[in-house]
Amino acid sequence: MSRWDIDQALVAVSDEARELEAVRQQVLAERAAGKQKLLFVFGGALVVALGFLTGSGSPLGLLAGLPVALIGGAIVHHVYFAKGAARYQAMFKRQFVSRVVKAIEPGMNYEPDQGISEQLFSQSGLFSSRPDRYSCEDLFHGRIGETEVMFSEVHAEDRRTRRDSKGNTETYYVTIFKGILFIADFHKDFRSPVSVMPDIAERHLGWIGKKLQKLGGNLQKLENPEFEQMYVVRGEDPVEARYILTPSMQEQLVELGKRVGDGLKVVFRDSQVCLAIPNKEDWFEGDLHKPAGDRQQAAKLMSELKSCFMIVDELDLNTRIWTKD
Amino acid sequence: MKGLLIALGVLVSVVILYYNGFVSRRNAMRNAFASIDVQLKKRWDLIPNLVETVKGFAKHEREVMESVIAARHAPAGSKERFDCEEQIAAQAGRLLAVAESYPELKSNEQFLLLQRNLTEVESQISASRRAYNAAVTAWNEGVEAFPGVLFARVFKFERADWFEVRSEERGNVEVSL
Repeated sequence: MSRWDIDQALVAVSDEARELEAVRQQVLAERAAGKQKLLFVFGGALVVALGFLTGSGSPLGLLAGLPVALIGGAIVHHVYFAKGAARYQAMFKRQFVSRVVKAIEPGMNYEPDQGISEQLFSQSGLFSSRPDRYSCEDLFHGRIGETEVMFSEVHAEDRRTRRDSKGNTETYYVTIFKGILFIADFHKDFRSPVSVMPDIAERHLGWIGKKLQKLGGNLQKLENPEFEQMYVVRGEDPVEARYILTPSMQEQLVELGKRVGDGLKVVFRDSQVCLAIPNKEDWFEGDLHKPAGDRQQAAKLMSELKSCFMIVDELDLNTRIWTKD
Repeated sequence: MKGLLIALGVLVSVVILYYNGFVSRRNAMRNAFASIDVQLKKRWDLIPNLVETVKGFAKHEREVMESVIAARHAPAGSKERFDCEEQIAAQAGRLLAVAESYPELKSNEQFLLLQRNLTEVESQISASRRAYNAAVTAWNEGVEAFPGVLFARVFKFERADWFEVRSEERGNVEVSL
């Protein structure tokens, strides 16, 4: 039976699912009580508003109920809704996801509150600018077969300012990258970095884009036409670039690019391979409105995990026939 | 007169640019060719150790290998030398395949290390050849495309040949014991 079998994984985590379900029921009960409290708060706010309305005779008296509704509503939301949801989410990740990960890949560890550091993000060479705002979560690290791996969700943003017609400046943030940052030990030794970036220039500008690519320097043209259409490769040493990007590695990156969608970036450096896989969704999260052992929820989690874990096989990183151990 | 001088200046600049472009492409090609030779030398250094290790296990293969080594007399960097290296590569592959029939050899650490080293060198040779072919493609594009073809004729630059795998090397290696 495959290690990605959902039913098998659900059996492995049945104890955790039972415990988690009890917590979920408790949180749902708290939310039901919270709804009653909210009705009570809004009712109180209405009474206050009507009191002020009849007392002052002005319709503005109705506004007096607003602070009561807002403050009371915020307190009830925090105590009965947000706290419980956060408690369930933390437990879902710490117990359920961790256990599923161990059942699928015993060599891997999961730390929901950790992530790949900003320093590693900047050192990866995947992005040209350092982020001004950076957050990360859901760190997976360990060994898949022979290969050391770590990946996490990352959100990196750049700070920008703009000035309106009245001369007021406004600060806003632009996303540099949101998705999965994946770093794995590469099975070959090499000296100079090689980058494989989406070929935006050629795709949008055609022949002119192709010429413009050369301006960036160290351009390496490889043999696979489909690969060349998807990516632009740069590396100081043409032999080393081809040593890393063998014809089969080019095929594998084409297939991976098709699977994860547009925007896949890959850098080979310091004997590692770093991948930036864009993803707008929040992965590895539990749904409070579904039973803990729900098959659909487990299938979604497994598919998210598989999408990351299988990169090792897709890039054939466990093949250790070269001199690097 | 001034216009003529400007036109002449532009023409000289274009000629210089094209000539330098050709020189840089030719150097890239020569550099790639030299890197193949470096890797072939690495492989060559591994062969005596491989022959020594399999001695006693695969007598017939060892004799074949020794005869190929004896034939390796062509000067470095020459086409004949590369042809000879092709034979060595095929024989080295056969020797490694022999290991499949000898469990003692498969567990021999020295042999396993040599096997990994040979795989490494073969990958590097393959990468060097591909880099050479890419450099040849860039050179040939310069020599054949317009207006480069006009300058190439003036400077007597000719198209270069790619490395191609001989048809007999495309087949599977047969091991006879």
